[in-house]
Amino acid sequence: MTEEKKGKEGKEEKNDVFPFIEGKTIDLVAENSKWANLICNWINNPKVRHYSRNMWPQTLEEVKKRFEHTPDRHIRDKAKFMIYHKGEKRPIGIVGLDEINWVSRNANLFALIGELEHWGKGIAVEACALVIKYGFTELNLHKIDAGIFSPNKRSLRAAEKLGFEKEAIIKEVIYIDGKYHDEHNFSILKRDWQKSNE
Amino acid sequence: MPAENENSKEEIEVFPFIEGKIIDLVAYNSKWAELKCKWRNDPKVRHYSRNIWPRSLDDVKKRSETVPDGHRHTRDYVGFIIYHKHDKCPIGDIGLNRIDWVNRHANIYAMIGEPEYWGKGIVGEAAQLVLRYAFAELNLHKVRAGVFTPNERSLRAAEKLGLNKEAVVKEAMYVDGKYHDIHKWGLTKEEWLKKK
Repeated sequence: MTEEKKGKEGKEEKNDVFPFIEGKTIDLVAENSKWANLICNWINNPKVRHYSRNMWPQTLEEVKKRFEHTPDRHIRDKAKFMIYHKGEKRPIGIVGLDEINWVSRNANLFALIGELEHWGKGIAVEACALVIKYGFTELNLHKIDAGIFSPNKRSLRAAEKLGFEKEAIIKEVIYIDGKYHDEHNFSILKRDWQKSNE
Repeated sequence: MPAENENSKEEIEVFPFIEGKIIDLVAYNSKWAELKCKWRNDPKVRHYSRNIWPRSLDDVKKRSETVPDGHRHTRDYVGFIIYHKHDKCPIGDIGLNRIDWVNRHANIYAMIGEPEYWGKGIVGEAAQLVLRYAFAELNLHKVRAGVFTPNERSLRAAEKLGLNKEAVVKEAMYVDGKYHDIHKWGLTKEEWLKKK
């Protein structure tokens, strides 16, 4: 048995981080209920929730409920990961696919960096690229969508970097901070993704 | 409202989901629970459908209560009642189970619960409709079927449907005191399209 490492706050950090997909700066790891407080903090944080469009307060109990049961492997409609910073050895955000439609074979991509000091470092792009690959090569999806509302410049740039195509602009469909905003619908098809990844 | 009469069967609303010639594939109705229970337990029927456990009416009822997960995109089986259009009665069931949405395949099953309708090509017609449904509506890549050796009728049906025999698994089924082989059949969407 190796010695247990000391975490950031000097707490003992047990080896219960399970990387599912390995990246360079980050790994995508399985969720763990011990991170419920952290997730609850991110979801309610005014700066974070502004961009993730969450206008309802969420209790810790609600967040904990997420971990209670997982549907059978073939009838899940989402796949979620924690974005785990390899250098700092701690989770800094969430990424994944939801609204999976198994018949038409598409899904919605979402990402959230909860630790503000990691914004603007290309981490969401790295994490999303891994999830897109996962969606196409492991889940056998045909198309991945993403919806970004207009003031979220950072995500708009990220979508472009990831090779998403803008399909539509839905006018004044989101109300944020006293104003209506447009939503930009982005998407990427498996065949286009394959071409740009050859 | 139909008058209460000992001879007249209770009127049950039938909702065709896929229309065929002799039969329609219709949504299940909980009023057919007794009938379904009879089919499941009938010695002649269950011999071929390989059902070795007695099934209570309560269990049959309970099973039809649970709509898979409530989500339309996350169910792992689809079942229909085979409804005879001329005789206006349900005669069996058919569907896809073990749907694997990632690898995009499913298992087709069928059962005619009323033995007097055996050998009339009804399963063939119903299965054609289900294959079409699987490929053209559910966007599946492959449909599979398993038939054990003494079930000559189903083996012929699988051949008629154009399924390919992929494997024979030796002595994998114990039926009436003997081991039997299971024939595994399969058909990909591409093959199905070519045969059309």
